[in-house]
Parts: sequence; structure tokens; C-alpha cells
Amino acid sequence: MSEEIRIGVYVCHCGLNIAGVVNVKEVVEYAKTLPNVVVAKDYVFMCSAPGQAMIKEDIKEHKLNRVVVAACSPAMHEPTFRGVLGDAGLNPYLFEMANIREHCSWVHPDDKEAATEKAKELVRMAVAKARLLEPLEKIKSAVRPAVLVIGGGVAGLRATLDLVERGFDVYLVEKRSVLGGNAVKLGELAYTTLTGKDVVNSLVEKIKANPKAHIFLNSEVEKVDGSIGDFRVTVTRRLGEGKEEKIELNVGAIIVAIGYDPYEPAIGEYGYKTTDKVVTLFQLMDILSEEGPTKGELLIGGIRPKSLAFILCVGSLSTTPNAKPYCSRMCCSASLKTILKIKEKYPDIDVYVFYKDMRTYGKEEDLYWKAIENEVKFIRFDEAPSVKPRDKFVEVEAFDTTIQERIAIPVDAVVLANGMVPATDTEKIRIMLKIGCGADGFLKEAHLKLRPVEALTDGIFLAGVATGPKNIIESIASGSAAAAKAATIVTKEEIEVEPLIARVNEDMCSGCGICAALCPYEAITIEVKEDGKRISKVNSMLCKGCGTCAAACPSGAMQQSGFKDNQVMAQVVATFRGE
Amino acid sequence: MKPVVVVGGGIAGIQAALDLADQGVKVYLVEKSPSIGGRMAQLDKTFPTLDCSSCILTPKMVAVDRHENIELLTYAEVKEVVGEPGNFKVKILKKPRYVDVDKCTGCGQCVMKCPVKVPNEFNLGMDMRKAIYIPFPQAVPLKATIDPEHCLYFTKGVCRVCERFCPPKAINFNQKPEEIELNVAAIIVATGFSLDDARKRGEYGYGKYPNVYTNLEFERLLSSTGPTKGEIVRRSDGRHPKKIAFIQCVCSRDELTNKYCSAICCMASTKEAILAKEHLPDVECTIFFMDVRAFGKGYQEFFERAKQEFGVRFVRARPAKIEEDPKTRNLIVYYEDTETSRFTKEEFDMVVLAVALRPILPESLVKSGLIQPDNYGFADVPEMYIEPVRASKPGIFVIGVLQSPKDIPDSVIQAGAAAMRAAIYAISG
Ligand SMILES: Cc1cc2nc3c(=O)[nH]c(=O)nc-3n(C[C@H](O)[C@H](O)[C@H](O)COP(=O)(O)OP(=O)(O)OC[C@H]3O[C@@H](n4cnc5c(N)ncnc54)[C@H](O)[C@@H]3O)c2cc1C
Ligand SMILES: Cc1cc2nc3c(=O)[nH]c(=O)nc-3n(C[C@H](O)[C@H](O)[C@H](O)COP(=O)(O)OP(=O)(O)OC[C@H]3O[C@@H](n4cnc5c(N)ncnc54)[C@H](O)[C@@H]3O)c2cc1C
Ligand code: SF4
Ligand code: SF4
Ligand code: SF4
Ligand code: SF4
Ligand code: SF4
Repeated sequence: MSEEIRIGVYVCHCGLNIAGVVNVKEVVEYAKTLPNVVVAKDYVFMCSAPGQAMIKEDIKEHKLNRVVVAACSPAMHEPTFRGVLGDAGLNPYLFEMANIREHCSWVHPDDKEAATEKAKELVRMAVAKARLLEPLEKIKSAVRPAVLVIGGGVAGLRATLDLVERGFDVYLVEKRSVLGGNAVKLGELAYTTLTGKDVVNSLVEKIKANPKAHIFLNSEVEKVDGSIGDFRVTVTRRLGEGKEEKIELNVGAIIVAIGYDPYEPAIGEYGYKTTDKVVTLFQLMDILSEEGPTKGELLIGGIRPKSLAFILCVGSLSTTPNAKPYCSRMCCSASLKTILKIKEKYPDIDVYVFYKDMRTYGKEEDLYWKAIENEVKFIRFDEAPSVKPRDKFVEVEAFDTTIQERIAIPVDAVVLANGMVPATDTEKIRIMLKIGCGADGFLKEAHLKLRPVEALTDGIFLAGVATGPKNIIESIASGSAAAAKAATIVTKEEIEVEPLIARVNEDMCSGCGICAALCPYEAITIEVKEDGKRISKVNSMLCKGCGTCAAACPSGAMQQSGFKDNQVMAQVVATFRGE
Repeated sequence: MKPVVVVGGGIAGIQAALDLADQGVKVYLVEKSPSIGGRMAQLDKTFPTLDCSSCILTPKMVAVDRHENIELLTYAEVKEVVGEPGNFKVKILKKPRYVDVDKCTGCGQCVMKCPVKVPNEFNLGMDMRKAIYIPFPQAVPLKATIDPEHCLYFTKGVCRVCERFCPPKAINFNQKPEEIELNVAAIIVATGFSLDDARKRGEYGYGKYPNVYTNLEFERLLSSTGPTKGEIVRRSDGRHPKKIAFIQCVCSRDELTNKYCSAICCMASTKEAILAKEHLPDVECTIFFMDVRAFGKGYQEFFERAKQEFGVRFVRARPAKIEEDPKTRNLIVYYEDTETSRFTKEEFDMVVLAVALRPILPESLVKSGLIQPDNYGFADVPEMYIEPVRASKPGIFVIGVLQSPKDIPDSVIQAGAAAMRAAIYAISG
């Protein structure tokens, strides 16, 4: 029936990494005795140019149609050798790797004989599987050269501007009636006379001047279908008088930049809302801004305070029962910056800072030095201070850990350095886009360190405070970084994904839906055919090839390409039965 | 479309190169040393998730090597830059390795046979390498390099042993420096950092007392590819320590040396204390700190874990001095616990100093005014609120620790940002 199976086996020395423990020549001789193996060779570095050339020549000369390399972990060089097969005109998936380094020589350096026997077994298993391998083709899908940005704060604005300057259409969807998010309320920023609003305006002006930018205010994303390269999005725009409009978009990538909400203290938390002499830092910044309620005059509860107490970590570091466990990252610096600006304008004000840890990291330490120079007084606490509104003043009481004494300081007003909490819509967006979120409630990145702006779902990227506290500078940088990632997708006409995914044999599928319930990437749907038969369907762009469904399918209908039941069984049998 | 040059192959430079190349932009990645990887290659595990540094870095390094849009220029430096955004002329000097990289398979035969031992910079001089060497097992490219300052052939005209043993005949003593000229649209600079000289704080005895280490040295002690193969042992007698002190803010937050905070060392020490406990379950770890700067995502949680799960002790104090017991080589730390206002001293058998990060600015770019140092010596970003990674001159981008002290996630984010902005110049160039 089918072609004759002709396997080439290549055993690598990896310098002395393998050959120092495993008797490579013996493994080669053994491989030659296995059924279907027509050639077996060894070489010092199989992955080197000469090693690759050797395999390529053999494929042609010996008419090989399967290749086994016994070397390092497939995580290291499987792509390399697949490439070699491709270059030699063979389907790249007719390749199998036996890991005789990490799984053998490295872990058995003291028993050379046993290691050599184990290497033979690993080769036997790989050959058994190689016999049953089938050619596979990469899955291709067309890419829509446009991007959806959800959220028009500084992060979303920066991402939008970068992508339109790069030549792509961007649909920016903002829930509110204005762009800019929380930054517009922050007044003058540290190290500059720029205000948050100036930063927003400079971005918005450039965006509005670019015909590639399509801005939807008063709008929300209602539904997202499809997958990387081809998302179909429904946006609802509020038109006033209770009217709404639906807009259908088709984009290749999505950037989520929904930001945060400022922490809102509970009534009575540090006296909040029990007196007009207690305000949040967020409110104070608005008070100090030219466009604020007092046109920039420092007036709290109708008076110009002569003394101020700042309480840090409000809503953060578990300081109160309502507070979050994490650090909000920018409130130490934002408080000191605000204090210095106040001191500049009103040098006679006495300022007390109640803090738990002063976290002016990096160059922002500069603000701490300057605050000390400006005679700001610092009081360190472990237990949250208590705020007691009196007739004409407010008393802040705390146990000062530095002098080991309880102190009470009367001040004219109290500022609560409130932190950041996940935006109200985080949960809704998370479910709609099938992306994750962490224990802190912020959106979760694919890898905290190395993939900080990618969501776990392909084609979806994250920017700004949506993933966790950041200042404006960091939010803007992450906006550009997310834009770069989106650009890597939308620059391509087509994207290719690995074919090592789950496939359903429709004749065998009973439509029980067990697979759909278990798939961690929500790649499976159960479809009902015209004749009423229920059948599982895998979205090849969403499937990550984890194999969960194939393992669970009671009918054997779900098979994982490259790891089909018969292929894996052949390997298992070869392990125990020998050959 | 014009290419982009990335200078510096640490994690920031690597990520910038990948993010550009994946957008279809041609990239030249210039690295001064024989391998890319930078400081991250020297770390053992990384906070706050404790994943193994080289396990997550190596695949990125391999991806750079394999990418069709990236040309790797290792053992090379930028000599001169002239031009304007969209059109820079960059002169690069490739130093001779004295090894033909097309032939070298990285087999290591030469290294085994070479008779000359030299302090190994990858392990911060705590062990020896050879005059011909491969800097670390996962180096990219995995090629040998002859160090002519120590090689017997270059210093005395004799030996050539490596040449005799090299299977593919890759050694070439006649290699000459090579000059490459590139025309590029933009330049991304990611030349990173080194630690400040801990001897500047003489009261801690670094360089004088053998059992006082820098935190980077301690990372190498923890690492299985380090000088002790992952054994934490004392320099003085090879014994396992029972009590380790970590001293924070050495040459940071300090009027005499650097006033800034180095941003990563609170978490680095917290991590190193946890790892020490994993290596030696009975060891006691004490961290002397002023403020715990656990500001990043997952950092506060990591700090709490160190205290509760691993029993790491945190003492809010900046020690005044360290004295050595000349007999035991143990270290006596003098400090005032600010939470009890008590002066006291305590004996430890190993001390790890969290030393400040100092930026490395490439001279050629500073000289031509393309990068300007800020008042701390980091690369200045004048428009930080709108273009947070743009240097003094448009078209030049500065990222990673070069620009301000920062951790890996922030370095990676800045890399993406620079790749985005540089790509805009590349496509219109
Ligand atoms: C008290 C306080 C003081 C601060 N001080 C400073 C400072 O001095 N300096 C500094 O650099 N930073 C400061 N910050 C931080 C700064 O506010 C943030 O870094 C920055 O605003 C984050 O921008 P963003 O775009 O990520 O989020 P946001 O500004 O929150 O923007 C998110 C946008 O998304 C929109 N959105 C939300 N949900 C949806 C949805 N479902 N659909 C569509 N749109 C949606 C919102 O309406 C908003 O416009 C401070 C923060 C606080 C709390
Ligand atoms: C002890 C310690 C522990 C740490 N632990 C962690 C941790 O657990 N988690 C974490 O997130 N961060 C950690 N960090 C921080 C982390 O090391 C940095 O964030 C990261 O390495 C910064 O990368 P970079 O690319 O900016 O610089 P580098 O890693 O320094 O890379 C710069 C590269 O540029 C090259 N170069 C220099 N000059 C030139 C030139 N003129 N031309 C060409 N190339 C040049 C260098 O050779 C180097 O390869 C730690 C740091 C230290 C010191
Ligand atoms: S940044 Fe400062 S004030 Fe804000 S939560 Fe962290 S430690 Fe507290
Ligand atoms: S292999 Fe995994 S990701 Fe793919 S459909 Fe099955 S369960 Fe989902
Ligand atoms: S010639 Fe130089 S590099 Fe080669 S073996 Fe001799 S000393 Fe080592
Ligand atoms: S012996 Fe030759 S091939 Fe092997 S590492 Fe040395 S130079 Fe390279
Ligand atoms: S991060 Fe911590 S140890 Fe490092 S300088 Fe800042 S406060 Fe000091």
C-alpha cells in the first residue's frame, strides 16, 4: 500500500556532553539493527553546519523519509532539524528527536554502561514512533491589517499613535466621553512643568491629525469572535437620548489598555468623608491643577492649610482591612512630588508624611532627598495611623517605630495617598477576551518577566496599569511595547501556526462535549449538524496543542497531531518489549 | 526599508532586536563581549517567580541567532556614528577572535588543551578560564575566542597547542580586526551596567575580608554553572556558612557615592536569601535594609513569602561597619536597629553586599553627543513623559539599566517601546 519506511538515525556527541558518558558508537551500531533504519551515523555536533549538511545529503542519497536525531532536548534544536528536513525537500514533521543529553548523559554521569543502554532504549522508542509519523502542514490564516485598542488613557493613546504612524488602521474604543483616562487629573508632573493633561493633549493632537486613527468615544466592546489575525468585534456606541449604534470591526490584533480605578477609601477609613479636611491624593492633585475646582489654589475644606499630613499606602500593603496586599508603586513618589510642588508655592506649610516604607525607587529617590532638604517630617508606622477630626483641626496619631513612641500631630488637613485597584470592567473584559487575571485582580501577562505585554491568548496584548500599577512614563512605554507586538502580527499578510494541535475524527465523535469543557484555551465548540448530530470542533488558531482533550476523549475521536494514540503507544510498547 | 542597529546584547538589546526583526525590520545586534546574554546570563534564578534565569534567557538567545532578519556582530564595538534620524552612518569594529567562526563547532577541545589559566570574568574572577575560551556553556554564538593578552603565542610566540587539537582546523592566528560600515535608520542602545566598586564603602571590608561578597558574586555561587557548581561555600575555608548577612544600599542612596536607589537590590537580596535557604535549609539569613522596595508586580507578595514561608529575617538598619575575627574569618556587623533604637553587634560567617548598579555609556555615542549622561551618569531621556526611551537626539533610543536602574520586566517593556519607535524610522527610511 504505502511507501517503504526509510529511517536515518543520527547520534550526536555534543562535544563530550553526551560522548563523555554514552558510548555513541555502540548506540549507532544498535540503531542499525532496528527495523526500517537504513542509515545510522554519529557526529560531534549534529546541529553544526557540517552536521546538518550530512543529514541533508543522506536524505537525498538514501532516499530517507523519516529522520531521528538522538541529541539534546527538542526544546533546543527540534526547529533546527525540522528546518534541515524542509531544506532537503522532506516534510518537516517526519522528524523525531531522542533526548539523550538532558534525559540521559547529564543525569547519569556516573554509570556509563547504564547510560548507554538507556540511550539505546530512547533511540528505539523514537524509531518506533518515527515509523508512524505523518506529514503535517502549517496552518495559515490571513491577517487583517488593523488593530483594536480598548481604553484611551495614556497607554492606549501611545499605542494608537505608534501604530497609526507605522501605517496601520487603529480603532480606539473609549468608554468615556473624553480621552486621556486618569492622567488628565494629575496636574503638574514630577521633574517638569508639564501637566498630565499636557501629556494627553500632545498625544491626542497627533492622533486626531492622522487619518488612520478611528476614535469611538462613549463606546464599549460588546463581543469579540475569531482569533489572532482575524478578530471580529462588535462595538456599541452611545448616541445620547438612550440611543445606541452597533459597529462591526475586523482586526488582526487587540490591545487592552483599560487602566485602573483610584482606590476609594471607605467612609470613615482614616476619617474619609466624615470631615472635609480629609482628601485623597487623587483629589488633591485635582485641587492643585489650574483647571481644578479651586483653579490651582490649595484650599481644603474651604481653608488654606498651614500644616498637612500625608498618609501613605492607603488602600495598599494591607494597611487596613479594605486595603489590597500589593504596593501601588507610584504613590510614594507622587506624594513627594506633590509635597515639593506645594512647598515651592507655599514655603510656610508644615508637612508630615506617615509612611510604612519609602519606595521612591530608582532615580525617584531624588524626591526623597529633596523632601528631607525641605524639612518634610517623616514618621514611620507599622500599624495604620488613626485620624481624629477635631473642631478646627485633625489629629493624626500613630506609633512612630523610629522613636518607639506613640505620637499625635494636629494638622489642618490630611491627604490619603490612595493606590490603584483594577478597573471596574476588568472582569468583563477578561471573560470576553478569554484572557487571564492574577490574584491581585489585574490582567495577567503571558510571562511576568519576558512577555509582560502579551496576554495568554495569541493576538491580544496588554498595556498600562491594566496589568498592574505603573506611573505615566511606565504606562506609556508599555503602550509602545504592546504596539510593537501588535505590529509583529499585522505586518504579516498571513500567519502560520504549528500543526501540532488537536483534530477530531468526526465519525468517531459522540458529541459528548467533555473536551470542550476541559480545554483550557476554550478552543473547542460543540456544533450541531443539520442531521442533529453533535460534533466537537477545534479552532486551530486557538488550540495550543496541550493534549488535554485528546487524553479525556472517551471515544478516541480527539487525536493530537504528532502525538496520536498509535504513535505514543508504539513508543510505550518499544520501551518495554524491546525489539 | 532601512536597517536598525542595536548596541548591547543583554536582555534589553536581545528583546529589542527580536521585536524589530519580527516586524520585518533588518537588525544588526552589536555586542562587545564574545557572547550575547549580558548580566541576566550570570543570574541564578529570578525574582519574583524564581524561574531559572538561563532557562528563560537561552531560548531568546537562540532565537536571535536563528532569526533571518538579525545579523549578530559579537566581539564588536561601535567606533563612530554620524548622521541624522533616518540616516545614520555607523562604523563598527569587529575584534579578531583568532578562530574561524564558520568552522568552529564549539567542541571545546582547544579549551581543554590550552595550558594558560586566566581569571574567569563570567564568574567574576572566582575561578579560572583558559586563554582560549567559550564564556559559558549556553553562549551564543557557541564559538571559541583567543584572548591575545594571555595567549602564549601572542605574548611569547610559542605554543599553538589549540591549533594542533582543533578538529575542524578553525584556529587562525592571522585574523585581523574588521571594520564594518552600516547605514541605518535608527540606533537602540542597551549597553547595561556593572556594579559599582564596593571598596568605596571601605567600612564593609569588601576586597579585604574574604567572606564578604557582592550580590553578583553570590548569584554565581548559587548557580550550577558557577565556580563552586552551586555550592555556597566561604572563600576563606570552603565551609558552608551558617549565618549570612545581606547588607542593602551599598553605594546606593548614599551621599558619598550614588544618591539614587538601584531599584532591584531589595528584591535581589530577598531572592538570594530564599535561594540560600533552599540550598542550605539550616542557614540563617538576615537582611539589613532601610526600606524594602517591593514595588513591582508580585514583589510585595514575594517579600511576605520570604518572611513567612522561608523565615528570612529583616532588620531595618544601615550597618555602621564590619570587623573580621582574624581567627575564624567570621564577620562582626555593627548596627543600630532603628525599630528598637539599640546599638548592637552580631556575628555572621558570610556577608553579601547589595552593590549599586552603574550604567555603561558607550563612549563613541557620548562623544558625538547622541547620548547625554544625566546628573547621575545614566543616559538622559529629555522627553520622558511622551517618548520615555528617546535619547537626547531623535532616532537614538536608550533602554534597560543604561537609562535607569530597573528589573528585567521593565527592561523588556522598554525594549518593545524602542523597537516600536525605531521601526517607524526604519519603514520611512
Ligand atoms: C493618586 C494617584 C496619583 C498619581 N500620580 C501620578 C504622578 O504624579 N505621576 C505619574 O506618572 N503617574 C501618577 N499616577 C499614575 C497614573 O495615573 C497612571 O500611570 C496612568 O494614568 C495610567 O494610564 P492608563 O492608560 O494605563 O490607564 P487609565 O488612565 O486608567 O486609562 C484607562 C482608560 O480606559 C478606559 N476604559 C476603562 N474600561 C473600558 C472599557 N471597558 N472600554 C473602553 N474603555 C475603557 C477608561 O475610561 C480610561 O480612559 C497616579 C495615580 C494615582 C492613583
Ligand atoms: C545581583 C543581581 C541580581 C539581579 N536579579 C534580578 C532578578 O532576579 N530579576 C530581575 O528582574 N532583575 C534582576 N536583576 C537586574 C537585571 O540584571 C537587569 O534588569 C538586566 O540585566 C538589565 O539588562 P540590560 O540589557 O539593560 O543590561 P546588561 O544585562 O548589562 O546587558 C548589557 C550588554 O551590553 C554589552 N555592552 C556593554 N557595553 C557595550 C558596548 N560599548 N558595545 C556593545 N555592547 C556593549 C554588555 O557586554 C552586555 O552584554 C539583578 C541584578 C543584579 C546585579
Ligand atoms: S508606593 Fe509607597 S505609598 Fe504606594 S503602596 Fe507602595 S509603599 Fe505604599
Ligand atoms: S489540545 Fe488543548 S488547547 Fe487544543 S483543543 Fe485540546 S484541550 Fe484545547
Ligand atoms: S596558542 Fe594560546 S590559546 Fe592556543 S593553546 Fe596556546 S596559549 Fe592557549
Ligand atoms: S577546538 Fe576548534 S572547533 Fe573546537 S571549540 Fe576550539 S576552535 Fe572551536
Ligand atoms: S533597591 Fe533597596 S537595596 Fe537597592 S538601593 Fe534601593 S533601597 Fe537600597
